[in-house]
Amino acid sequence: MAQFLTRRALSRRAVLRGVGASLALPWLDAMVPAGRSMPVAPRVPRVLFVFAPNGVHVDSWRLPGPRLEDGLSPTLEPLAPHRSALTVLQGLTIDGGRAHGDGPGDHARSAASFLTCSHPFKTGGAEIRAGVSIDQVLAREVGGATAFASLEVGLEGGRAAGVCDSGYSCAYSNNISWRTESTPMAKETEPRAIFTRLFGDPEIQTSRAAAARARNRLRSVLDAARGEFARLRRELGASDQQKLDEYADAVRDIERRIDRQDAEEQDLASVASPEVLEQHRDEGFAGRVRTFYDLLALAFETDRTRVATLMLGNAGSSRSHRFLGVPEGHHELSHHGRDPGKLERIARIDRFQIECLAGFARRLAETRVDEGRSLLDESLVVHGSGISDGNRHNHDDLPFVVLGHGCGRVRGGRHLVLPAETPAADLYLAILHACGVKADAFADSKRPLAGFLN
Amino acid sequence: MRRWPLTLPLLALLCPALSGQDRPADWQLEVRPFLTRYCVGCHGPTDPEAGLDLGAVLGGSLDAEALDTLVDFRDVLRSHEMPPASEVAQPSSEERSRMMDWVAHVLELAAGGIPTDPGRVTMRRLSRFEYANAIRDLTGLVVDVDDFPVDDLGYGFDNVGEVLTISTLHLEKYAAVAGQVADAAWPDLDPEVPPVRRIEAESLRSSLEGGASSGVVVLITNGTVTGAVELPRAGVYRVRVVAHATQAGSELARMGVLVAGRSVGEASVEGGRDAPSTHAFEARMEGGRQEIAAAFLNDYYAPDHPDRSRRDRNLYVHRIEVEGPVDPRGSTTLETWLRPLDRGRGRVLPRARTLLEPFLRLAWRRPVARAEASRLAQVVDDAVDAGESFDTGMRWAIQAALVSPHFLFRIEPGGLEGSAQGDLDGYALATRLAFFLWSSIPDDDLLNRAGDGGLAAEGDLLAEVDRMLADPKSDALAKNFAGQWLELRGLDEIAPDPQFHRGWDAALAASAQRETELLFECVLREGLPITTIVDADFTFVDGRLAAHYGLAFDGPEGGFVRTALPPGRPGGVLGHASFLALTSNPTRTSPVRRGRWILDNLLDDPPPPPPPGNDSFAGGIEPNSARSLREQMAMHRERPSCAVCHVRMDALGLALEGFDGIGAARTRDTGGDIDTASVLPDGRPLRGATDLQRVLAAEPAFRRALLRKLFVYAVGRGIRPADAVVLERTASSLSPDVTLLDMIRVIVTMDAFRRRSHEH
Repeated sequence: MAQFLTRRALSRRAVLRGVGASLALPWLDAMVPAGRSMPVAPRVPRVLFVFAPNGVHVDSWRLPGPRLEDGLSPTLEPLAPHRSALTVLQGLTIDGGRAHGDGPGDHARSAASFLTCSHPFKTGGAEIRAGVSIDQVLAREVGGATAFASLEVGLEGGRAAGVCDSGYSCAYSNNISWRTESTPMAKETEPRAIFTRLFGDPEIQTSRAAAARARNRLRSVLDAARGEFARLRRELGASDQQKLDEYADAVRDIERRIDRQDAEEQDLASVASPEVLEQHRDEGFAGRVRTFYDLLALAFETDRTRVATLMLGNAGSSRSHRFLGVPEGHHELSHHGRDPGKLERIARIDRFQIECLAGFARRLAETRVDEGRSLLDESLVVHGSGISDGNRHNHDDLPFVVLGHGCGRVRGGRHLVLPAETPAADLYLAILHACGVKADAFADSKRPLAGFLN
Repeated sequence: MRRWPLTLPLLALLCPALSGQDRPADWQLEVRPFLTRYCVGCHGPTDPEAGLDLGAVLGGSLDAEALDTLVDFRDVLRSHEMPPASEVAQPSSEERSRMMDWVAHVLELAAGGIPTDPGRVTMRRLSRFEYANAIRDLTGLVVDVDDFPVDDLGYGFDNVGEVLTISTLHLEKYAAVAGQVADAAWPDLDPEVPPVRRIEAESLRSSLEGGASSGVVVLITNGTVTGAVELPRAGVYRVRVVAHATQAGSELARMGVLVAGRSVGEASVEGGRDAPSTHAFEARMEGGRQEIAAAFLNDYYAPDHPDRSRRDRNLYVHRIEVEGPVDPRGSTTLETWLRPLDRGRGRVLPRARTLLEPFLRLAWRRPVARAEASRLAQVVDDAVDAGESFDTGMRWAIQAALVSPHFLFRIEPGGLEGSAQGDLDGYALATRLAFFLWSSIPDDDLLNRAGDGGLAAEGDLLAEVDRMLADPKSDALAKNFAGQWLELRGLDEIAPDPQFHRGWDAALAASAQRETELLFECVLREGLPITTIVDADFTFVDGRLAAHYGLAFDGPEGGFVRTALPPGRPGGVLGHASFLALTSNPTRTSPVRRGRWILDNLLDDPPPPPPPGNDSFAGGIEPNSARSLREQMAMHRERPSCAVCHVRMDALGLALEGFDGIGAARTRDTGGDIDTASVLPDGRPLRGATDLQRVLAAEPAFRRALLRKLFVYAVGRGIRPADAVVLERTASSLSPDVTLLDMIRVIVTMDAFRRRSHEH
């Protein structure tokens, strides 16, 4: 039977269904709190937040009745096999996405507030400020146990020209993860690069000695850099210091990862096969989405990270979904003007996204962890949009679902019809609690979402 | 909100001495009543919208907040964004323009009465394009930055300091690329005697059954034996195979040699076991792990031959040797520069420091202190201590220099000693110049000039600008400035529907982008008026674009030629496939988006976004409707809340309806014959694209727009109220035939470019 250390520690065994291999991780000295025997500590869920741009077709999304047993909606139907792990949330609000006198720019705000639940400061560049996002709070609290404190990925890189949304810098539209209130976490957008980052370059075979040598080199390089920023910091003003602090955080992240690698005996090449990059190669954009989910599943299965975010598109994305018979740009289409044809096509995009989510849930459900539990039991997957109806740009009654039992702390199998204006931050605070993080508040929440936790 | 040191009552600036038509609006008699009537209902003292109490701000002290508000006030009046048509009565256009004139008047007075503030730019990380250019100019190497995270844009540009954040992912990429750059830029020297690598029989792999025995691998039928070596670099190597054969039949055993699967020669193998022969070949091989194979080509077996020793022909391979590289290795850019400085021996620290000092000066854009060079030399020393070679240590140190904040960030050092503002030091100014004009680091000349104080005088500074613009590196202005100002970089992202727009592909997109860049370069290099950007009577085409436009083409394949245009085809950016495609929807043209692009980029007067709940315009257009696009748009304009902006956007966009969604000329669309006539908001009729060119070229707002865009790009921050005042005044002093060079000169001599203030 597996034992678990405190939430900062690494699970001893990981059964790697995705690659058909099972391997034992050694106890890592660094992972065991000094001077204590190994207590059986609570298990820590894997948490993924998925952002869908441009809102949804609300009528096709919303469930027909107050209880899950009353049936799923046309859009959510693909989640039927995972009904017991499903929580549908109706009535969540992200007040920070609203204008509050800042005028238009709902798309930029919908991404910037999605996980921060803060009201982003309206600026085209100067004094960028959103808030610390829930995934980064989690990363800080539980990320120390894994090679990557968090993983940020997305399907779209970002606009290369023009203005993203009405006086808001593109930093707001392109990022949902914010490490500090002024520092977004850049996301990786190429599957191969994500794989390489997590597991090493599949095309380069490196001996253990060569890998150790490469780590020495990187350590030496970062050491030198560290010396420079310590000196520089004293000479600079506050906003420059902030840039250096971002830099210092990044240096520390990489150093921590190198230190872990020294201790790790896991041969990454054997736990993750680059086949994952080929499986959906010929399936166009749909294949790309599936590949992203496969990579996230692999990251969770191999315990490379426990916190991840996925942007299916940047805020206001104008992607065309020709493979669904929807040639119009998504954003253009979302201003549907109640046209039934357009609403139906929006619902097709929504349904496609939910099908991809269901595929991910299936893979997690098929991955056994311990004692008959599946990875889905041990995970929480939050899928939502920061806008409800794309035509109205409203930030209340947001379409949110959660999959997974969060290591038994989330009951699932429920439809929660919440009082109007319930902050999404209540959900996030509840997720913090499910992950064993003691917090009294998050953003505009003072209490965890009622009826969500066991 | 920071107050100006000198705060003047705004009213005190109003000058009652003027009279008649020229007299600006009087605060008591006109401005206040205007505010009372149209504005303070929402923006008043109690619970003001957007927290703005307009009367209090505009009637108070002239501080930064008031300036900011003034400019906003003017802009929303001009764009008809305010007062909202749906909520309050609308001022007459006469009233509007009186207020705008009043703002201009106050700004004019304010410009004289406010201490200038050059502002402060947040330390900027290099954008990914700047990074690639800097590496190129430093090492001669081209790096691929396509998989770096896209730099977020601020104010439409990717070089705005505050937006250029750095995350773990960024630093990982920087570290990895810097490592590759260091390895390629500073390879090991070849040893004086080329080493020989021997692969003995035990390490050879046979394609047949069985391996080595007694020091040989036997091939009893046609097959190969293969071995691998690790080579330090690509180059010419001598491959030798030591083998013998047993002979049968009429010919000798034939052996082929393959390098990385490719044949490099054949030989006949004689002899018996006691006298193996050596067969040598020269071959060009790649670096890294390489496979070499010896193949038995002519197996022979005659079981009935009377002489038992003549029955079976077999090949026996004893070993393979690889000697080399035997060709001289060319020097890399960095080696050519630095190797001559190397003493080649002696203590590691001083030896490394000698090499690193000049490198760091260029990489970090300033002379480095001895202590700084020593710290990086220490990296070399650490490597040597860990058993690595000196050159390996150099690679570590070069990588460290490129991962250092001094390389990745543009740091403008302190040293203002208590004063509120001061001149940038010469090196910081040189760096600003280089990144503005080249999107890269300063070269040696520029650093020398910076060190000699040779940029302090305005004449010297401008002479340096001329030199830098003459350098082809200034093409970066077209790629990076024009590419973002005109949104050309967005061409990668559009996806015209092939059903409606036949023939669009990545190659045409690239040609279209290049056309507009070439026009910009031409305007820059030939000193043409900036208006040429909108009203050129020529353009640049390659074969692909010429066919797209229906023009004759007799240029070289793949090359661009400058060509005159037939009447009716506009040559400025308004007629370019780049702009026309960028602003279209996948299935149709969008006159609204074209109009909006013109307002955003050519006039710097962006219309406000649609009012919430009223933005269903896109939903209203049906490509296959019986009504023409024009009729559908006219219906949309009937809504008052839409009309205020759409009269402007639509008028501009409709004039360009003679071009389809990828820029090909047309006379019909699904709705019937194309009509390009429209009416500007001020009542002037507009007949088609050439008319629009003329109107825009004559528009002073175009000069102002370009100046403001260049300012943001050059200085790397948004326009603050104090800048707005200066830019407003500067723009109004520019002549209609101002050139890009003139504008660049104006910008580099502005305080905002040459000076900086203390952080507040």
